[in-house]
Amino acid sequence: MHATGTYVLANEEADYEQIYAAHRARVVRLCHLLLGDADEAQEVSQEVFLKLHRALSSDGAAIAWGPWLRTVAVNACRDRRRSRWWRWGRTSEEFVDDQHPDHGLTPEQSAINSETRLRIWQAFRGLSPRQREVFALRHLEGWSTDEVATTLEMSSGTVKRHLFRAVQHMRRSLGERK
Amino acid sequence: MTTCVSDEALVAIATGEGTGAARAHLRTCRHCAQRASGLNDDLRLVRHALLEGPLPTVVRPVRWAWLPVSGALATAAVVALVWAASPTMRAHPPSDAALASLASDVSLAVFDAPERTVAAHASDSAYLQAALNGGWPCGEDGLYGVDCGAAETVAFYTE
Repeated sequence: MHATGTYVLANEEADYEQIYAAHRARVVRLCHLLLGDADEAQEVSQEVFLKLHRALSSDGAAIAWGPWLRTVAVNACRDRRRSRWWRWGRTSEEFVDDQHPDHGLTPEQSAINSETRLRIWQAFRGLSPRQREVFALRHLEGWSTDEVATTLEMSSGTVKRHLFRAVQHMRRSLGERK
Repeated sequence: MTTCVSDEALVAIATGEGTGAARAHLRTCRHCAQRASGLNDDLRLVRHALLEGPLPTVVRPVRWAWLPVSGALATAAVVALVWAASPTMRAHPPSDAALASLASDVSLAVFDAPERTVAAHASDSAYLQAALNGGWPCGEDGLYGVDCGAAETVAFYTE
């Protein structure tokens, strides 16, 4: 399962430190994308790696831990999003791009100006939670449609519909800048 | 006449899927090739913005940030007060006699107060009038003056 993901390491050894070093940044990033909050993403990521530690302690079988971690992260983010406390304080959001320009960025990143990046982020936050999950896993994480469908417990057709609507939404937001 | 591919098919092709016929059409149709190129450029831009660059910071109004905290503190304060008061009440429970006395006082105050007040006023006026006349009133409450009958006077002193 999930053997074709871009960031999947096949036959990973069940060593916590190695897995943590290899996947932590991507898991935090995924949680940040799904939750929209850096602090919440850090907390949920800690929960995810705590589950990894327990899983390694109970069953150290060699599986593809990268996809496993992302699946656990998606479910943990969903649980966090459903919680009462989470919904209570998130009726309104404002985004501030506090990035220092051209600091540690590749030339292509530098080409994306601050306004465009903020617009893309706002458009992504404007997607429904399901669309965000599908777009993040399918397009950003590089999972196949079937892998996304299995993880999110929906049909392949539903995944394609969510992905298409998400792409249309994102493109509309980009079109407004042109 | 060829039929251009749909937007759904373009998205499928851009994400590594799509039918062979749709891919073949892109090689022959300049218009669809440009559409696919524009879609790929946009998706690449989105990918870089969301995956590589720093993400914007979420800022929420302070009132929303503190509302759960203040609510939790208020709830904790109420729970603490109830918890602190309960042992005190259990340690010094009121006796049955005190409760009966309290109930009696409340009952008298609520139901008998008007009549007693009127009787007291009448008695006071009788004493006042008797005092103005230089004696004691001849009444039914056991108090008799010198102008009253001898038996009644004896009864006054014997009681």
